[in-house]
Amino acid sequence: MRWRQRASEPPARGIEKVAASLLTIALLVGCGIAKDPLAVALGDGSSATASAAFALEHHSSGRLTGPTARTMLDDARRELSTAMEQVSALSASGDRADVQADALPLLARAVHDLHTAADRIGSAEADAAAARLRDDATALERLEKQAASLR
Amino acid sequence: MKLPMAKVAGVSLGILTAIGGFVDIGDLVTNAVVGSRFGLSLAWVVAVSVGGIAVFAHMSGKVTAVSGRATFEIIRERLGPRAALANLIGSTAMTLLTLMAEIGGVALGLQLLTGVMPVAFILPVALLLWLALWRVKFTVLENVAGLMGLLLFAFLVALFKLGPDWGELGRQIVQQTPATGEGPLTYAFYAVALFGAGMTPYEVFFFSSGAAEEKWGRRDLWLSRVNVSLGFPIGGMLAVSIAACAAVVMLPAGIGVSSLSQVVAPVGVAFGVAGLVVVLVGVLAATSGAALETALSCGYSIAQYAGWPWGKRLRPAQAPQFHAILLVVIILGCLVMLSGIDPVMVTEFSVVFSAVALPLTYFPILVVANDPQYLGDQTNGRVMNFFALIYLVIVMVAAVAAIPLMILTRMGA
Repeated sequence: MRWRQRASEPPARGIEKVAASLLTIALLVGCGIAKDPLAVALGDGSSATASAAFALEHHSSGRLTGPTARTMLDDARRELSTAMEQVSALSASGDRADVQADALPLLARAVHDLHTAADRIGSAEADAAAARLRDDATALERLEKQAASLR
Repeated sequence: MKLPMAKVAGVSLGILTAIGGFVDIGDLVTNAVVGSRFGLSLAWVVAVSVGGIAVFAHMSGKVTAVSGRATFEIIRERLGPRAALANLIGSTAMTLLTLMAEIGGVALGLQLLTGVMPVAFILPVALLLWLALWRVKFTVLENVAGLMGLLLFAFLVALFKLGPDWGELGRQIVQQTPATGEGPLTYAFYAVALFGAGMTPYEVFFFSSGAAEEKWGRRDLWLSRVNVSLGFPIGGMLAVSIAACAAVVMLPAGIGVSSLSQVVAPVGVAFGVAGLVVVLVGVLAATSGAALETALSCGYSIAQYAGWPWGKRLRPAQAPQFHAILLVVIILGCLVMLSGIDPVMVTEFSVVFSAVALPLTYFPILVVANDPQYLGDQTNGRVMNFFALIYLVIVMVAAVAAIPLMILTRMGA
């Protein structure tokens, strides 16, 4: 096949209009099936807390270096704080407001546990700190599922 | 046909550097994110992108090898200055964004090795990159970075050591639907991001300009075919193994990967600290190699468009504008990363916007590769055009879908 594209060819305006219409329809449909922000924030919080527990456990067992485990904890702390800010900034109503109300103290506890865990890394108390973080992650995951089911 | 040993060694080296060079910070992060959230259900996207990059990299290399001229120079001549400028702006902007992500990736890798904040490494890394581009020969840069990047095979070995349920991984590959708790839009967003990560525009321009640096001619076309048909697929396999490690370790632990520390952690789980250090050295090699390639790609594209002398083979006094561009893009990359912006976020943006810019990069290459005035008897045949057109359609779909999906999913949240 041989063909040449001329630089002077006029743009196909009809195609542009069709593409713009399709894009608008896709955006409108997409808005309807996008994930719930409360569930997303809780999912991020659960993931961050589980990651911190993972870092503590594997550092204790000699599988992660100190710098890598500490970086994982720092990243988790940042992600968890962001998740907490997002949950508190949401204006939820009805059942979603109940989930939000349950989530805020849970997130605050997870943030506290994560700060404590960062001080315990490499110590004999690291495993206990990791277990607490695992509990926090499980509780946040449960709330995430609850929030997702409310849509 | 009997090949001399030096030729065999050259071919092997080319393949190995193509493997090591395929994986950069975008592939590392995106594959691990996808693996931790979708298992291997998006592995098909890696296969598709490997096919695409192989088709267009070969075409681009062929243009340079046969015509003896730079790709951008021909694009400007063939499509006119305006269309070529749109191509230049789109691909250079994406390459610059990728360069920033790679500089950030090197700094993050060093943080994981030393525990020092990544921002402290940005300036020294930028200085070392510039020195390497200024003083070190092209082949040395390419071979050292590519060969050390092979340390990333630690992901593949770790996967076997982790002893996964292979049946489950196989089911994920054929499943090709969103995992539980993930929506179809998020799945589509990551399909586009993974495609953008696999087909980053700079790889094609670097491949063709590298062919000119190594003085490829018609007789080296087979070398191009071997490099792209072996090197890129093996690089793709490496990318899938990164996703598989995340799918085996992070997905069951309920951890959605969002940082480089989580990307490399599965290798630590498999091999302990020694394995972790090996893979981190691989990450440093892959990201610094890609940083060099992206900086060079910016220099190649702009100098070729403007008609200035270009190439690492020319001394700075012989190609002053080219070397000035290298310095400027490294300074720009360094300044943006010094602002404290999250390198992983820059990486995520770079792979999504790469997808947006893909048509600007690939369409002109296809036009030039179909022009007998430049390619003579090596002009694209029916089979090559068939595959190239299929890829052009995929590229267009990905480009149109990328930004709406990014907005709707809030960057894949």
